[in-house]
This record gives sequence, structure tokens and C-alpha cells, in this order.
Amino acid sequence: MKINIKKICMFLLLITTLLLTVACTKKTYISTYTDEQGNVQSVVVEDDNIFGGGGKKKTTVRIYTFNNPAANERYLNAIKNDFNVKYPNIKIELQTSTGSFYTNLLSDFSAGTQADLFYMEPGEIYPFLQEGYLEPLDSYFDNSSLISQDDVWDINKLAYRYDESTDTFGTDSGSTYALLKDWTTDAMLYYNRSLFTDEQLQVIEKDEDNDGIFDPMSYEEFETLCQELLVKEGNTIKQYSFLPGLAEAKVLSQFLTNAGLSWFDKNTYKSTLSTPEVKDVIEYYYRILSLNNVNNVGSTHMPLFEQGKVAMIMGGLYNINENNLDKFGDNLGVAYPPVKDKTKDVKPFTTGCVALAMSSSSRVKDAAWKFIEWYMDYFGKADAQACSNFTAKKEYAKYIIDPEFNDNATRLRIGKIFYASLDKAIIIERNKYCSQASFESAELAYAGEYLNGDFTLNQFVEAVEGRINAVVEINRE
Amino acid sequence: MTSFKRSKKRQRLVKNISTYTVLAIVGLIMVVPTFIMITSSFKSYDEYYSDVFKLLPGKWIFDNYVRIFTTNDYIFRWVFNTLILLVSNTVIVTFSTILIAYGFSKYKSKISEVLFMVLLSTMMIPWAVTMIPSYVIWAKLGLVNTYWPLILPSIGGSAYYTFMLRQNMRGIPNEMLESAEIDGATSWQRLWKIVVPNCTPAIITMVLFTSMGIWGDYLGPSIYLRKEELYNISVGLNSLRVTSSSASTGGRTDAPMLLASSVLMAIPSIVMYFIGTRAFTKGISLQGSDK
Amino acid sequence: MKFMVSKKTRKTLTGIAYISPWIIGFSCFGIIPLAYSFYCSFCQYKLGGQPKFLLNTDKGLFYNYITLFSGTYGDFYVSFKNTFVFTFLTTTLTMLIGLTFSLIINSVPKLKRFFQTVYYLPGVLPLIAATMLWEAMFAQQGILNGIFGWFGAEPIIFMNHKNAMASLILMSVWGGIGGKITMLCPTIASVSTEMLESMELDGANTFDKIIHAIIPMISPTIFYLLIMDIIGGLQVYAPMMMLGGGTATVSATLQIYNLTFTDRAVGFACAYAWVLFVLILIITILFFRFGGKKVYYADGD
Repeated sequence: MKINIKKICMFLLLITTLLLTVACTKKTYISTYTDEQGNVQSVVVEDDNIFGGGGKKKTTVRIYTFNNPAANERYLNAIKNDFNVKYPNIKIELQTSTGSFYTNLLSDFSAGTQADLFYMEPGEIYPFLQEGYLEPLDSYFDNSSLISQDDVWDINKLAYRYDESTDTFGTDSGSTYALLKDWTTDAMLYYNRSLFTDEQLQVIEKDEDNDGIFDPMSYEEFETLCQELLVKEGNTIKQYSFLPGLAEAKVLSQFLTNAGLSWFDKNTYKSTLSTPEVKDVIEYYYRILSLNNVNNVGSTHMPLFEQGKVAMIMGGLYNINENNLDKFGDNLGVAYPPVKDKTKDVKPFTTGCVALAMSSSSRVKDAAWKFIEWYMDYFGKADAQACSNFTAKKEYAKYIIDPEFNDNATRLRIGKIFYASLDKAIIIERNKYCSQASFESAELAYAGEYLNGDFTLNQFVEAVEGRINAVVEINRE
Repeated sequence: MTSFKRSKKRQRLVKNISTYTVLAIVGLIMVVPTFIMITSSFKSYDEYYSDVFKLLPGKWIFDNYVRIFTTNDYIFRWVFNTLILLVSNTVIVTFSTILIAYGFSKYKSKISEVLFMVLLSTMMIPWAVTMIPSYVIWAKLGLVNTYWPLILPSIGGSAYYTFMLRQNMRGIPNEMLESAEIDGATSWQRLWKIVVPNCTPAIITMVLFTSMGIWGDYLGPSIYLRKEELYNISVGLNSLRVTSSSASTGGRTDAPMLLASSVLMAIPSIVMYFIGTRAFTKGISLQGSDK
Repeated sequence: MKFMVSKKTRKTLTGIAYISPWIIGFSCFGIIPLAYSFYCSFCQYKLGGQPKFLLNTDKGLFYNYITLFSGTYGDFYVSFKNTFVFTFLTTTLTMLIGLTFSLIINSVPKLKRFFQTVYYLPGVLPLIAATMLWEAMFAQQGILNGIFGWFGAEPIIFMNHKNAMASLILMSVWGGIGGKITMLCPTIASVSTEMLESMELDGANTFDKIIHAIIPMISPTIFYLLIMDIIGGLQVYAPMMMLGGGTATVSATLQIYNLTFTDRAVGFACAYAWVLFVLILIITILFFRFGGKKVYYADGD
């Protein structure tokens, strides 16, 4: 077999040229979707070719979303069926991210390729504020006939109203930089009543102040329950007593908040983990985690609760919809997270409060605002009806807590409990120089070894503290 | 047959049997994990997590494979994209590297020695050092989210394979080239008519491994490609893993589906490997016969 | 007017002409990012912002490097220790086992290509799949412990402090052997049979043949493979990232990756990367110095 290299090379070059030519041509294709009546509609879409560039005739608003194809599919259908009917001249382009959403978003900003609208969270907003990437929304609210700032939960102020001169959130001065789409208290304690004895139920369902809402348990009561409700067979756990349900660092943060403490100092932003009080809570929290063999698996615990293998787990309102928790019926209970000192008030926080924010350098700001307005109404209603969260406009809560609009008994009952908790809710604390992601990654780096017993408590605390302080120092001006 | 020959034959038989046994056992160790991967990809999600080390699935489910094709519109586009990247990259890299290695091996000078040292040191540059600055520079050029950042750098050839080819080309005796020069062959002709045919095994290895690398390349595309339509197969399938973990399974990675997609990805690699080694050994025998 | 250049100059110029694609590529895609990264290592650069040259802040020019070497960012020294241990062990083991099996495969009369493919199979799997697989293998109630159970042995904790590095090395060696065999088998096969036969006539047994003939003849390839392994090994991050292991396994590049994508401190990450780069340079140069002498080249250079 004679291999004529030259001929092969020519041939391959030819193929390459052909392929590149094909790829460079712009393609139009027909995209189909099913509308609300179940009819299949089709739409001609112009596709960008691989070497960039594409047709931009209408006003195009680009939206950067999380990587959740079910949700995005829902958005696309709603956009085609409803938004484009109301605003036929605004084209919406959804872009999803892979990997770390906020890191990608920041890279986009530095490349100048950022979208017009994107998701935002309180714990990640600082870098965007510091660089001035977010458009203040107050004037849009004022000029809008569909939504005003009073229609929205107060938590939006705490989360997204920022005053640059005083470097504080939640004041009446300053500007609103994002609008939450939905929220709930995230670290509430779901529990499976069928796994509890009557005495245990009385502990978790105490209402000593007779205000109609169960009181939060003390740390001792909680730990006792955790020990009693754990069922082991040899070395394998048959029934877990408590699983975090969220990232471990987030739940640790909630325990600290409920003890009146914080993982960092509000003035210097440096870690407080080595102070004795905080160390106590850390030891307590990880004691409970190791009891349940938890080791860095975080948010994959909800399915276990769904299967009835877990007594207590942290979660938010959306878990009912996402994890089919209403199948538990009357056996589903929700309690406040435990407090260290019963004289102090519980502060359940919201770790979410995902919002829509607008890029300050967007060229289609008015169109983008129209989308925000439309979203808050359309999905505000739809998501509330699906019981997946409390949505931006307070009025839509009625779909969850008003028996006239909500005929699912379990969802009604649980929804009311969550609704009551919203009064006490606060935003998860945020460190200006150490993002939530950094804190979680620091905890993740060392928690495994602590839970394995390879690190002592002091070594663990030192390691995480060292990491947090290093990041704070590096990022500080 | 003399008894001597007979015992020698038996000796060789024993040796062969024991060698094959050893090879087979170790080969099993190599294969078993892959085998598990393949069988797991036919398990249902629940079965996978409840009974991790059960070797054969109770029920053979093709759903994972079906889902890869149905829950996603872009899968064929991804394959197409990857092919574009693969062919253009491989062609450019191979062509460049051959030229560069030829220059380094047969046209030595003080300058080229220095440049070679520089080339070697570029192999030592961790990608971590250049990753972000490269991204920023491409971003300023406005070429992020296109294929240019993934194709243009191939012009420089591949430092690894330049090194390897140069080693290989040095193995070609200079007398052969000198006599060709005397006969009137230009350097270009000498390269393609003498040097390259003698380096066929190495070149085929290069093409083979480069292709397999591009097929599975995750890092570069994940940094530069943001639109789903532009993904290559590696990034695309990985995005499925992330999505399937949040939506349908409440946070846990949909392992069987991920394994199914990995099996699919691995098949072309295996095919490429098989074809490549075949051409390789044919090339070896060619080389041997020329001598 | 035609230039009369000496043959030597013409030779040099031709060489450079052939090398030119690399020169162009390196200048554009090598030097510029490299220089920029060097500059960034002296900046405070938060992802999404602009690099701020450290002299303009009150932190001092060498702030990034001082923070690194003073161990303020906890696992700096540990990460390099882990990286070295991993590289050294993986490279040595993969080469020894790979070489041995290449020789064995080469000595059997049939099924060579079959075994080559079988041994290469682990390397063909996409990395994500391989790590997921090994995650399942190493899990507490995972595959390997299950197999041990059949033989009545105690289950081993694979990813605890003591064993994590060994587990990762096991996984990497498993995947790396195939590549060596693919490269070495044909090279061994191409060793001149006449030379081997004449050695046999002189009374050399298999062992002698291996040590004194085969290995020297394939030494360029071995050298090449070792260097590639060392350079690649020093940049390892994927197994650590996927399988975890905490401070027992954290590698330098993993830290750089986290610093860039999670902590978003790009300038600091660049400094870290440059330290890694310098280390790789030093180690490679040392390797060339001491190892290069042992390599035998056929064209007498």
C-alpha cells in the first residue's frame, strides 16, 4: 500500500475547506413548539454561524440563565406564546451557562460579551456592584404601570438595594439593582411525622407562646432528636435523623445566624471561626453531621427524604413541587431551624432570592425592562400557582395561602407555615471580599478530613479560617 | 524430530501459555472497569445507586441512550462541530509540525538550536499560566464564542509532537538525503518524498493522538464556547450531566446517563485507535522493508 | 542582483523558513499571553474587573508572591508536595509497568494488536467517565470493596487521608499504561532483528538482550515519554478535582483552578502558576542534564 502523503494532505485540506464553507453559511431552520392548546406551531429562526455574527433586525434582548433545561423550555414556550404576542418587536435570546454561572458572567463582562439580563443572587452581587456593572432600576419602577417597588416584598430592599456611599444594603437611600423573581426561607426544617413518636412530635411542635406557630427548638432538643431518630443496622444507616439538604456551609451559616453569630466580622470581613462561641456551634453542627455520615455530598439528600428515609431535612417551599413532598400529606411538617438560645428570636434566612438584573452597558434597556415586567406577572402567577415559591409580587402569594385559590390541603398548610416564616426572614450574610462560593469551597476543602477524624476541630477551624482570611486579604483594596 | 527439538518446543509452549495467562489476567484488570461502565450505562437510575457494584443490571434499559438523543436538540450538531474542529485542527497541526520538525532536524544551526530550547521550554508552560490572559486577549479581539481561538493556535504546530518527530527524523541517515540533493531534489521534495515516508509510524501516531485529544477536549471549548449550538461533543455531554442532575433527579448526578454518553463518546475513539494502530504497523513494515 | 550566500547561511535560512510556522504561532499565542500573565502576577486582578498594578496599591509589588511563600494561602507547600509525590510515583510506575508489558506483548507470537488495544482501553475513556467510574469503584460500598467482600477481606476506605493519594495514583497508572504500550511496542518491534540474532549467537540470553540492546535502542522514546509524563504530571488536577481527598491530594493546578474560577483572584492565580512554571522548568532541565546523557541516538548526534 503506497501512501502518497501529498495526495492525502490535499484531500484533507479540501475536506476542511468544504466543512468550513458549510459551517460559515448562515442557516435558517424551522423551530417548532407546542402552544397552550396543544397545537404545534412553527417559527423560522435564523441561526448564527460558527464564526460569529448573525442577523439582528429586531431589538434583541439576551438573557443569561442557569443551566436548567426544563425551566428554560418553559420560558421559551411562554415567550413565544405570550411575550411575543404582546411585544412582537422584541426578540428574546436565552443563553445558558455551564459550570459556575457567576464566574462565567464576570468573564463575559471582562470580554464585553455580557448579556442584557441575567440572574443574580445576594451572595454574589458584590463584585458586580463594585465594578458598576448593574443598572439601577428605580427609574424603571417609577415609570412602570405594571409594577412598583411597593408591590414587591421588602426583602428585595434588603437583598438588592445598595447605597454606595455608606456601603450598606437595605436602606432607603441608594438604588435597587435587581428584582427578585422568587424567594422562600430556605433553611426551614422539613420533618416526616410518621417517623416520630408522640413525645418527639411534642418537642418539635411546641407552641409555648401560643402564637399559632411552632417554636424553634433549642440546640439540646434538636441534638436529642437527632440521636433518637437515627436508625442503624450494623454500619449502614437505615434512617437518617438529619441531613442538610443544602450546601453544608449554607446550613452552618444558618446555625450560626440562629446563635446570634456570624462566620465573619462585619467590619474587617475576616473570619471569626476561631472565636470560642463560633467554634462551639461548629463542633455541634459537625457532630450532628457525622452522626448521619454526611460527608460533602450536599444537595443530593432531598431524594432520600422523598423516599422516607430521613426524619428531618433543611429546605424551602420549592421542595414541595420539586421533590413531590405533598405526597406525604399530613405527615409532612415544617419547623423553624433550631436556635441556640431560646430567648433570642429565630432568624431563618433565605439563601436564594434569585433575581433578574440588568447590565448597565446594555443597549436595549427599555426592552429588557419590559421583559422583567412581563416575567414578574406571567411567571409570578404561574409559579405561585404551582407552589414553587413566593414570587416577586406580594399579591400572588394568595395562590399559595388562600384556600380560595389553593385547593391542595397539604400545600395550603405548608405554604401558610412558610408564609409566616417570611416575617422573620433575613438575607444570608454576605462578605464583601469573600463570596459565598469561596466560603463554601473553603469549607468543602477541609470538612471531609474533619469528619473523617484526620483533622482535629482546631486544625479544621484554622484551615478554613486561614483560607477565608487569605481570600479577604487578597481581594481587599 | 529429535528429543531436543521436542523439549525446546514444549519449553516454548509453556512459556507462551504462561505469558498469555499473565497478559490475560492483567488485561482483565484493564478491561473490567470499562466493562462495568458499559453495563452500568444500561442500568436504571435507581438500580445504579442502590446496588453499585452489581456487575450485570437486573433489567437492561436502553432508555439512557434514547434520552441522550431525545432530550437534546443539539446532539448531532455537536458531533458535526467536533468534526469541524477535529479535521481542521489535525490537518493544520500535522502539516505544521512536519515542516517544523524537518527544519529542526535537518537544518541545524546555532539559531535553530536556541529556538529548539525555547520550544522545549514552551512544553513546560502550564496551561494554567496562559489560560486567563489568552481568554482576555481573545475577548478583546471579540472572538470569544467562535471557533477561532480553538483553531488558530494550531498553526504553531504541537511542541510535543515536534519533539517526537524531530527525534524520529534524526533517525534518518543524512547520506540518503545528501544523495538525493545531489540528484537535484529540492528541500521540499526531500521532505515529502524521503523523510515523511520514513516517519510514517510517528506521523500516524501524531494524527491519531491529536484526533483523539480533540475529540475529548473539554477545557478549551468550555472556556471559549458559550452558545449551546457551538459546543463540541465533550462539553455538550457534560452539560447534559449537569442539567440532568438538577432537574430530574433532585441534585444527584444521573450517573447511568452520563456513563451512556461516555460510552458513546468512547466508541469513535476506540475506532480511531484501531484504525491508527493498523496503519501504524503497516507503516512499520514499510519502513523496515525500505531498509 | 542575485545574492550569493554561503551554503551554510542558505541552510540556516531554509531551516528557519521551515520553522517559521512555529515562530509565528509562538509569538502570537505563546509570548503575548505569557507576558500578560507575568504582568498580572504583579497585579491585583479580580475576575470581571481590571488588573491593578500592585505598585499603585498599598500592598507592595511582590504582594502576591509573598502571600504565596509565607503560606498565608494555606495549602501552598502541601499542594506542591502532593504534586511531586503524584508525578514521581505515577511516572515511574507507569513506565516500569508499561515497559515490562510492552516487552511481554512483543514476545508473544500472536494477538499483539489485540492486547495492545485492550491495554489502551482505559486511556480511551473520556476523563469524566473514568473519574465517575473510579468514584464508584472507591466508594465505601462501591465496586472494589464489593470485590474484596467476595474474597472475605475487609473493606478499605479509599479516599481518607492515608489512602487518597495512593488511590489517585492507582487510577492514573491504570489509565496511563496503555499510552506507553502503544508507543513502546512498535518501537521495540523495530529494533533491528539482525543485531538481536547476532547477540543470541554470541550467547546472550533474553535478559542481556533487553538490558544491553533493546533498552538503549529505544531510549530516545523512553526519554521522550518520561519527560512528557513529568511535565504532564506536574500539571495534574482532574483526578483531585473529581474525586476529592482534601489536603492529602490537593495539587498545584487544582489550587490555581479554584483560585481563578471560585475565588476569582486572577492575579494571585497567575503568580501561583508562574511558581509552578519555574518549578517545571527547573525539574525538566535537571532531568535533561542527568538523563540526557544516557540516551543513544542513531544518527550520532
